[in-house]
Amino acid sequence: MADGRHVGASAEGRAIARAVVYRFMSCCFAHPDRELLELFDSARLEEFLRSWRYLGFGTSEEIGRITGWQKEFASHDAALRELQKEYTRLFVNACPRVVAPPYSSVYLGGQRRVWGSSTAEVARLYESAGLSMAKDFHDIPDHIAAELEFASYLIVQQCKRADNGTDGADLADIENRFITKHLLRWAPAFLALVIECSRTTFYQVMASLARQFVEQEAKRFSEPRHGTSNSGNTQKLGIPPPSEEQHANHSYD
Amino acid sequence: MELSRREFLKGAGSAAAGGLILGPSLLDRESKAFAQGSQAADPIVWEEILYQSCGVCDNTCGLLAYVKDGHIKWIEGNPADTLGGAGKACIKGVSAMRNLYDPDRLKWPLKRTNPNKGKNEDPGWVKISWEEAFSTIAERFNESMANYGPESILLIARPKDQDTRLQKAIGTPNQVCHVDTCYITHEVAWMAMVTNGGRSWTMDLENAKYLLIFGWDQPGKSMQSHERGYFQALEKGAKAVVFDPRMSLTASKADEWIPIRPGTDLAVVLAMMNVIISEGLHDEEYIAEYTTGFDKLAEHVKQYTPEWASQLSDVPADDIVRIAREFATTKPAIIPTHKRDAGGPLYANGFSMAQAEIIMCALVGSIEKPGGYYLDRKPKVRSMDEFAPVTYPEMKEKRRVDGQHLFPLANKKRKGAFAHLAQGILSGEPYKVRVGLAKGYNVLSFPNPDTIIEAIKTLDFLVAVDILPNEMCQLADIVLPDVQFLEKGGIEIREYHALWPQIMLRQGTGALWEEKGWGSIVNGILEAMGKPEFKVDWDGLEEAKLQDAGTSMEYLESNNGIWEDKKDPVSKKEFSTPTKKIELYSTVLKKEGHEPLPVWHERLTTPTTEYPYYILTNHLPWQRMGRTSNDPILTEIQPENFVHMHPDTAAEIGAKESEYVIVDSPTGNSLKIRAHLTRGIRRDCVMTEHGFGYWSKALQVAYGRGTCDGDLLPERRIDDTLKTYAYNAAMSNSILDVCVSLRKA
Repeated sequence: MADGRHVGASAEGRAIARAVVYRFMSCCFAHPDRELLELFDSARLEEFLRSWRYLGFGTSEEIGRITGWQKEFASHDAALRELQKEYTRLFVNACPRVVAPPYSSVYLGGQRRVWGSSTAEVARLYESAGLSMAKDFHDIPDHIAAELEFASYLIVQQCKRADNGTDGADLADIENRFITKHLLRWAPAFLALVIECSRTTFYQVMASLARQFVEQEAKRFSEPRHGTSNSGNTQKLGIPPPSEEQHANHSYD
Repeated sequence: MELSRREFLKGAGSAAAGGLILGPSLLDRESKAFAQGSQAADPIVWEEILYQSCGVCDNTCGLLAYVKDGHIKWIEGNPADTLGGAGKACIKGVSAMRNLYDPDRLKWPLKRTNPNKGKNEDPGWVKISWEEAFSTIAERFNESMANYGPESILLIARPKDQDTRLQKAIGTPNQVCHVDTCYITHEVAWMAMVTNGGRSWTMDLENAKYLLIFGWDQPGKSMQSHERGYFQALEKGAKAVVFDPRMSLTASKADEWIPIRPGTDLAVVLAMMNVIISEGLHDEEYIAEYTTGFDKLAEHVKQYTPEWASQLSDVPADDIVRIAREFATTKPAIIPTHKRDAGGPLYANGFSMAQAEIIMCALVGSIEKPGGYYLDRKPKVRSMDEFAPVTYPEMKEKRRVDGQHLFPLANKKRKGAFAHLAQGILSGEPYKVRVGLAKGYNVLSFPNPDTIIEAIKTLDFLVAVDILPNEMCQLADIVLPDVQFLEKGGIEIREYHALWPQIMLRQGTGALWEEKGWGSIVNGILEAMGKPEFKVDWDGLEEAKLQDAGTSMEYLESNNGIWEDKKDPVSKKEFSTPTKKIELYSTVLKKEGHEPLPVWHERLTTPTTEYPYYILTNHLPWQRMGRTSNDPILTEIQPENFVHMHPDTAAEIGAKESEYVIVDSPTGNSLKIRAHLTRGIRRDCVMTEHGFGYWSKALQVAYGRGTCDGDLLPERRIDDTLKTYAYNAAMSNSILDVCVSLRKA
């Protein structure tokens, strides 16, 4: 993808499939609303599943559960209520703790805070790709949903450039930097927390699929043709799941 | 199997190629995170220096907030604010961005899904929209008003413009704040004897030559206006004498520390008055020009001899005489007061002490004089009601659930009593309050928090508005996120230490999530309640106030963020009392059935065999309760609170430094807390630090650290406070008027 003009059919297909998966994941980690439920009722789920398979993922237990999770609920409304409650608990405010604040700076930079230097890093990448935050976004730029959407955007823009026959190397470079130097450094730790602590099938499944995908991305970007050395990028950050015991001995890093 | 990018990118409705892709594609969805097309957008990563006025404590020091990489990286004092920190910021101020960027913060409105409330109940929060929050609140408030009258709505809130608008629009008398445990004694004494404004916060400390201090410890709380003035005075050679049962930070820097028996300061001051007057050391000229009632005072204090005061206070009679003489002859001399010192609401005689402090300063001519007290010089600007006039509904029910209506002078300030509130709610007398809203107040701010928790649980519905998910939020049905001060734009009109009129600019970062300012929240509730006529254009009000003061946002922006009408305060000689003088003998107090001159009264409790120690409290210089308690770095300085005791006291129970001991209180509560041994405290006293013991598990740093001093302090019954009516015009709640016992853990 570094070049963009010489993509073979399968490479271009893979790019599109990756864009679809990133975008699908982005929707799943945004605050759940009716549109999210519709995603799972519509052809878009099929689009995701096809893209997923295209990227070489086989049928797994999670894939089996991705279509079934809604059946746990009596109605769409009940499903939505449960997802919103769990989203609040995992990502917004909760007792005993916000399980997995969905911001990079909470995992990177050694301070448990929002708007850290990693936030500024990723915001600069958005700006270098010509993006700014929507006025009604009302959240911090390194929210996981924004970052996943950003990856999707970069890939789509490169495909469009390729279509028009213009050079996409600058975007490829941003994509490379964003994924290897930023996203892969915190997403595994974040997803591990969600997998460990979620009480709903939906977030367990989505986080688990996201983790598989991110692992594949890590492998993909460590292949030599990307011309980057990213040793350590695939390494999980090793933040252990929270426990009451740990909470009692809370330290400040 | 091949995917075609063209099929993907064609857009909505694209046909399936080879049956692989079904449109419309996910990739065509509109972005929620990023600005679309040519929509003009702000940069995400910006650099700027923002003017701010600190919101951590009342001192509102001017600050400079350095934005780099799109976020505040550094905070320091604004040198142009010479009334505040004068270029310095205390550790609480420079730490404020960690509160701003705390991941535990409240971000969107929340609704509880678990109907059970209590310390170990997970509220089961779910994020909701502002529309849903406002409509739910309006429905519950309107329902309560219709069924039980407006008085069934309780507002636990400060009487600021926004709170007052909401309260008056609803028509409930029940707006309750914390001042019965804070500065109400000073406020009512000043209101009755000197001025309607009633705020004794403006002191020309740096020009004082003699500082006579009774428990005042503003330097120990990093209150910079007073802290700076205190140290400037000392540097210029002033003498400071501190009466305090423990060696406060202020005492540690003073010339003399006199470990007085807690709650007997009044006896010492009465005897000092006697010495000054009988020896003719008072300022006759000033007294003639500025005061009334001197003769009655002179006659009254003859009964209070230094020997008598010495017996009560453990202060040698010779020292009382000597210090009285020094105070009267080393001019200018002042007794600085503020909040919870000996003239505060600590003991049953706190109001009389506040009275006595005013008289002492008047005797030596230091009210409205250099080196003494000044009445505040706030700019003359229009009020909210002048800006947005409206006819409020008649408040038919004037009785308050906290009993403040029984104390007419205190009720003029309409601030309420935290210590009575639990009884008021639980007894249903004089009527039952049903629904409530708490703005910026935590249950841990109440004496004996368990009782207020039980009381609040009996409300049908509670709204909490705050920055962090504290204990009040844990008990609420709807939680609303408030903006942190660094996010907030606008102006700050200096109230605290306003030696001259001053207005400071606030340049905020903007809300990180969907928090709203309190004014917007009040407007939202009023709109949803079907009372849009009461809404206020809060930004417009600030503009109008700037106009009235003769300045503008543009001026502030190009003048270091500060407008001021700096001039040396010219002494006022008229005061807003019936006689237009400082009333040493207060006709206002007399009229309401209170003692017009300070009379000696013992505190309610003294040590017994069962509870042999006086309890004292304090808060740490680098902490400001909920505003800082979840800060990891400030918490690291001292992760839990201690109980300070004399080594001899520790020996009595066999405790050693840093060992856990148990403090038992007549409230029925026992605290397990580490002992700190110090010779800087009387043997019959123990002192612990406020601002610990948070049990909200949603506060990751603060949770479970230390203990809550409030557990040791009793709530009060209105009937009992009424027994002190004669000498307690302020309805103060004698917050530290209790003794405790100690044992080894």
